[in-house]
Amino acid sequence: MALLTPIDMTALAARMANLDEVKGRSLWADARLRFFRNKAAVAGVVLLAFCATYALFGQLIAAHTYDFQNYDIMGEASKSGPNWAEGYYFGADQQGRDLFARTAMGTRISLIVGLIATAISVTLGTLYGAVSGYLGGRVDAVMMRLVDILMSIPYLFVLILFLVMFGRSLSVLYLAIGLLSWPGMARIVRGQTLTLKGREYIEAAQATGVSSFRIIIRHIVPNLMGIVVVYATLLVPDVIIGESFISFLGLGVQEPQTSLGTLISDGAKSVYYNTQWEIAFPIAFFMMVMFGFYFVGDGLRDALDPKDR
Amino acid sequence: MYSYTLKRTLGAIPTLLALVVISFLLMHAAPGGPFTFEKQLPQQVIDNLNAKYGLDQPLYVQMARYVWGIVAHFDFGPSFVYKDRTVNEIIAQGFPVTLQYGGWAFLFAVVFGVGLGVAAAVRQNSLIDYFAVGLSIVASVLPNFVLAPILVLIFTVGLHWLPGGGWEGGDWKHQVMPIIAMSTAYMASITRMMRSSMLEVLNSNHIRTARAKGLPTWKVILRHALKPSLIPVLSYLGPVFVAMITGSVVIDMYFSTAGIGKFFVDAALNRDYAVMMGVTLLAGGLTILFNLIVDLLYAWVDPKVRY
Amino acid sequence: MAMLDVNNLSVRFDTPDGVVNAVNDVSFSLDKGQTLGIVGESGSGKSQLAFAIMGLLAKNGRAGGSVRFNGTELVGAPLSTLNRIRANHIAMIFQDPMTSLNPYMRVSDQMAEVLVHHRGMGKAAAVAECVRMLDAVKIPDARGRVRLYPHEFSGGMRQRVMIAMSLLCQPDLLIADEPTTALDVTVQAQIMHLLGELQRDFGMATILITHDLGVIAGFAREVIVMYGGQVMESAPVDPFFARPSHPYSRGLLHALPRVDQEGAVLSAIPGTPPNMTRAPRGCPFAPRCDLVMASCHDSLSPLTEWAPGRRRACNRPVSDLLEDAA
Repeated sequence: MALLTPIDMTALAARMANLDEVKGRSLWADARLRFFRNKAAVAGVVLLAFCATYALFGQLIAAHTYDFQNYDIMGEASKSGPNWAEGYYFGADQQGRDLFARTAMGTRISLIVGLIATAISVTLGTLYGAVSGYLGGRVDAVMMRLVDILMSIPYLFVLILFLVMFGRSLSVLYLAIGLLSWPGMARIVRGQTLTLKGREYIEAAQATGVSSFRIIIRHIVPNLMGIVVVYATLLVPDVIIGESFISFLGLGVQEPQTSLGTLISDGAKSVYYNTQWEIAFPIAFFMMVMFGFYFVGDGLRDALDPKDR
Repeated sequence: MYSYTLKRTLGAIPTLLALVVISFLLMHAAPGGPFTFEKQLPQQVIDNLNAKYGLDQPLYVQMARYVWGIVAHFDFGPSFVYKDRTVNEIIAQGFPVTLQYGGWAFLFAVVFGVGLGVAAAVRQNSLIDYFAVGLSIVASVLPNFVLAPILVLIFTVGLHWLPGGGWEGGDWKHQVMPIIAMSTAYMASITRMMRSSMLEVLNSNHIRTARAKGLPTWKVILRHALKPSLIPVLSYLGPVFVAMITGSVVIDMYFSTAGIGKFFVDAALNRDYAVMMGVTLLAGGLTILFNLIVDLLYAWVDPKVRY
Repeated sequence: MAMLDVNNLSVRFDTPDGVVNAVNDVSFSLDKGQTLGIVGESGSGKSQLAFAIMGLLAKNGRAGGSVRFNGTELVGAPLSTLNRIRANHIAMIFQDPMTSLNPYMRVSDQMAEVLVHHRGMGKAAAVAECVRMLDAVKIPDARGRVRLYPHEFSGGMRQRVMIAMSLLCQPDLLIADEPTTALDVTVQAQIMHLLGELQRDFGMATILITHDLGVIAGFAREVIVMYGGQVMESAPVDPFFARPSHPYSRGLLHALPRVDQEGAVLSAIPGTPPNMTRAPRGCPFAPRCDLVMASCHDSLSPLTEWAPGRRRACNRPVSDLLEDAA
């Protein structure tokens, strides 16, 4: 669902492989300049900053804790709507709990899962792809065959399988997502590594007897950073979609903890009771987070892409 | 062409086998057997159950049996929870439903995605282009579980046009919202992909040649630009197809459509590994099959692919 | 009235960096069966000039001025008018035969569609005609190879296919945009030889666009030298080669290796072609000219005829150059 398709990524990889031939200002300084000139990207940063602030401090500002059940308004649509006087800024859910505090917690958990799982996935994928691409030959063929197999596994089904097997908890959730979503990264990094491999400085390092491992860590991986950053930014929303998907099914984080998916699920179940705020606020934050990451990711890609100068 | 088809088909077999073996090992890596329930069963009962399902045999025997059952008889074994039903029966019940609305959703995503993408590229910077780009940006943050409740809120709660759930043997009214909810995000991706690839193709030299031939614009697009610009989209069809199967989990839960997703979630909640594995394997197998079809389509579309 | 009348043709591109003036006020005319060579460095606007005549400019390009073909105005003409003329009356050969043919269609299909579209021929008859034309461009075993895809041909063969395709409707005018640039040297000679033969056999007028003066010498009767989007000099080929009347033309000729002057040192023109985003002021060649004068940076005298058939745009009096050459 990412805004960036695998094809775009390949093209981007090809162009970024030529980045060091562009003279003048340093790549990153130049990219920063172009990034902040991009209105959508800046809007994305603002959106993410807003969501992150809310996720971090929302529960402190909230008038009620996320698990306090107010029996006076519980299950009564007429009383549980947004009410500033009582401190229910976003209204309350079916159990009479404050949605402002709960949405803050949900946003926080979704962001945490998104960031940690992406970090795991990107680390694994980068190393795997760099090793496979650098070593080449038969090793590469076998390693990429494995990636092919992993990519034909229906990811969300296996994710559910993992959660059922190892018990539902936050750490299983992000570990499982991280462990399942790296093959895409590996493929892109491998392609990029193949182009880097032929460069003179790599050949120079090889000629002076630097070990393969050191070449990968010191020379290959740092030059992959651009594409890794772009891909990671665009992977986060996909991971959050995966997490929310699982939580929507009631297989993710457990009560009274919550995530955006769980909140959307709760809201979705109660659409018939005229309690639209229950679904509106979680969806609004879900969409803001998604837009934020997509815009920033797109902005980064354009900024790191010297094609449009 | 035939030898190419044969080669690709044979090439898919190891992938399929690896998938079966990995899944089997995964299933057995799970802490606690399939008969670990909340309430403790007497050891005698567990032993009996293990014997009945062949779980007392060495691992490799179990694996050989399982793999052989699937390969030779397309038999995924018995369900661990529904004592009287096999995994095959459960799949046979749920899968046709999933395939029906999933197939429509797939078709919807591809046809509208391609159409809108082409229209947007051909009329770049026109109203239809802005509409297509805008729609594809908004739709990309509307995965099925977000769009489904929004649709119900509008068409069931608000307008009373469509029923909010049920299957009713596939009555179209019960399929509309599941199809839209499933396909929209993917339609958006296809639109975006199609647009950018069509724009690139329209700038290519051979399109200039086609225009220099004096062909009208529609002929240039249909005869010369469409095929090459579809190539990047082709590789995306595999993932979309899989998403239509896995997406049924959400759709079946929310719209009570009784597809394979419902059985999968039930199995997940009941730790029915046999059903989960069966469904996962079937979806994986279909993915491999679908990727094979896409590979063959590539060869058909692009004459430069070597047979 | 000439067959093709180009008057004050200009081409502008809107780019994020501003307007690019690719072609400025170019005028020339061409009669039936004539051969014209347009020569210039890359970026001199010569290809864009050709695209403007065919109405094939990129989306951000605009043509100004006038192009009349047999009395029909082509600049700003509706697509339907252009489509009746393209391939049918004016055909074009492009620079890169590798990418200019549709890689996804059999040669037979992409050639035949020209005849099906313009002549209303049936598919079978059209393909038969295509085979005949492939024979004419000396593709061996044309009947067998017409069913192949472009990537199954070598570069030179592909350009032959391209040429055959452009001649299918027996056009009145053929525009060849650097037809040999992307090819090996030996193949270049074959293709130019073939083009020369075909031009004589079919008798169509031809505009040959190239950066290679050697190619012009063997092919064209008239030559136009372009620099920075402007015409610097135009002349019949023989007097042009004998006595170029413009510093730039002279520079080009000196950069050309010649068999009859063994041991002579080739001289390059120093500097690089101008950045076209800035509106032209003065002579575009001034920064690189060895005969530059102060006035050259501010203004350039318009293209004027100084001898029969010979025109030049230069502030230096023609005598300066001719004395210098002698």
